[in-house]
Amino acid sequence: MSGFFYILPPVIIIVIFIIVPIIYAVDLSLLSVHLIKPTVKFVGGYNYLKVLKSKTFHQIFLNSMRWISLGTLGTILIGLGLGLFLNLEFKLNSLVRGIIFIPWIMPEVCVAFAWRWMLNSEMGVVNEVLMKLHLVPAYVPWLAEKGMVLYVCLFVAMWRIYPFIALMILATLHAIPKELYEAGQIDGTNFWQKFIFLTIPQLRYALVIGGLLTTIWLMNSFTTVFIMTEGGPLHYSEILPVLIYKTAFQSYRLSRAAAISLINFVILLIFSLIYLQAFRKHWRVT
Amino acid sequence: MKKIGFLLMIVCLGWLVLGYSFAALAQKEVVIWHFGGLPAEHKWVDECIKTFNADHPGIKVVRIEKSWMTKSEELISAWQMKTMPDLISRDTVCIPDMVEMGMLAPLSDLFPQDIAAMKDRWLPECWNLGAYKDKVYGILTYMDMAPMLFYNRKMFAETGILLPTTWDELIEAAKKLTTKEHYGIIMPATLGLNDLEIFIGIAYANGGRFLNTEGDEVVFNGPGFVDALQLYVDLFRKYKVAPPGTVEIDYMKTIELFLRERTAMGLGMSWVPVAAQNIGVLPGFEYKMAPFPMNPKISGRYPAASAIMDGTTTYMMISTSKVKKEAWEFIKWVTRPESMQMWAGVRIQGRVATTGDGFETPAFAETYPDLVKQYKKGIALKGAISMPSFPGFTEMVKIFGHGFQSALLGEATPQDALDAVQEECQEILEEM
Repeated sequence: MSGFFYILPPVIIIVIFIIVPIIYAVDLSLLSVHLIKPTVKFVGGYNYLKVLKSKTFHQIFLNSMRWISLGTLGTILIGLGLGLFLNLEFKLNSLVRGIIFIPWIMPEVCVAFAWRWMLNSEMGVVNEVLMKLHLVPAYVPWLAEKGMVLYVCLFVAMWRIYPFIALMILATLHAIPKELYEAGQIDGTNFWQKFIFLTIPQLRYALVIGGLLTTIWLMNSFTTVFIMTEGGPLHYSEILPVLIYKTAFQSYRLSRAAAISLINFVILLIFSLIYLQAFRKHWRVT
Repeated sequence: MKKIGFLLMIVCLGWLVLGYSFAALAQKEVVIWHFGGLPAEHKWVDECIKTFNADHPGIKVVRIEKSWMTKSEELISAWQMKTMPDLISRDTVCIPDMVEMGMLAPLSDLFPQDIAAMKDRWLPECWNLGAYKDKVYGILTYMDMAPMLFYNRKMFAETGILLPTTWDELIEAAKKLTTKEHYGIIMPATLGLNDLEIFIGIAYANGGRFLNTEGDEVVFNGPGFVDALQLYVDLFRKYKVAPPGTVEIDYMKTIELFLRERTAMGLGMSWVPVAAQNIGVLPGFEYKMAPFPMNPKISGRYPAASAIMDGTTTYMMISTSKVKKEAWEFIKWVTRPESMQMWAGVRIQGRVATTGDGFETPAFAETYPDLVKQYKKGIALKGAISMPSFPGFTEMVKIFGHGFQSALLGEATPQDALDAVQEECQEILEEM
């Protein structure tokens, strides 16, 4: 019985800060709360239907899928590469590790503002440098070009996250017993065989957790996009969190925003379950 | 003896603390959220508050600076959390939305005598900007007008170009003024309200309107708006006289690029001199403001508006305020002729006066000689109308902005782009 008392504090916190807001959001999404209109009525699934039928939502949903799939893949690959690089023994290794970690410790707001200014088409330092090096013939509108803007914002979001993943991988690499590689060497493994058959299986846990965390962070990555472009031009860099914000605070449609939030939540839940399933399988195997 | 002295001292201190606490309790605090504005204006408002507080010992006005970009968000959050201030100063465009939400107190109902006495000081066109459904909700300090063209005098003189007065002349001038070093023109074209208002001003001048006269139909897909948008598209896409990143350049960046001589002309509102003053104009840099060129054949169905107006620092009272009387005292103080003179060029140049006394200020005549001449003839603000302002406008203008950018990005023709967003806006209007 006393065991229940031990878990009571976290249970209370989870109920107050997670379960109650979810129930409130579900309730809100079934109503017609619009701040300008005083009457509120029960509308059932109308908000969900309205959202799911909207072409804008489809575009933003696709943007979000591109955002998290490419973002997660990119972050994990960069993190993995960097982790492996930092695992090598060379002079100034500690200094390089410290420098690489800087983006992670910088506040997201500062990162977004700094990159927004650096990437400004007319006044940004990036274009100035590229022009001086004769790498581009004219200023590039990084944040105004419809085919490019989403990926430019994604690059900034990844730039901030990858050091954490690299550090996670580095810590795991340190924990791999050296005997494993020695045994591999005796068996005559080459560099790639070592990497594929020895290193990667040992990193699986870190990669799954890193992937899950990156997916969650990217899926909820509001600040970077909102500060850099507000989702524009048009909806070309808009992702679901930005749409939720705009629906609630710029269109005053709280119920519709709650419906989009829950759709976002379900997507995130699906991704998390897939990752956890993969993780469990790996756990059972090991 | 020592003990008695000590006790007396404790009693005196106690009385002092008690007295101070009572005085503090008796003093009523009025909190103002001030949205937007520039440092020189903030400094001036703070001075005004200081003198008010000194003159009214029973009232303490506290000003909190808030971001212009997130004004709606901050107010909605505060409204939901019941942490609203007593007064706000922001733009008049938001009044219908805020009234429908129940946020604003009707000043004409609360202080009818004062309002009746004040009303005649303001030009009727300006006074009406603070009203909604026959009730007054906001008292204007100054207003901003759109659209305005600002141009670099040196570049014009060097190329021997005269100030364009028609759209065709504007295109020709922009073409001639485009060089390797600078663009011919910059039109701010983000989804920000100010940028869209500048365009809406051009469309209104071309006989376009956001809603029909009855206010029950969204008509921005009419020829007035479509042709104005075509002008933007031509300047940007066809003649390439504007920067390639036009859709990310907002009104502030436009002014900054203009001051850095990266463009010969720019589009803005009457606040350009205020913003330029804030950024800093280099010695020898000469610029002028002029009315935006007109389409010689007005294509819209409505009368051409000479300008559209927005009272961007209008004092409004929050309906939940518990110190309405005290808050009203401050509104009266900050809108006295001697206070309003500061907005009319004595301290801040570029804002457009809203009262007769403001128009008569000599400093105002220096910035806006033509407006003052018109005022003296009794035709000031003739043909000028309010920025679109009705419940749902905040939501609709964003959707409108998507049509606007869609045409600029070449996704659709101006007509198709505006037709597409008109349907969505009509749905919202009917819902309201």
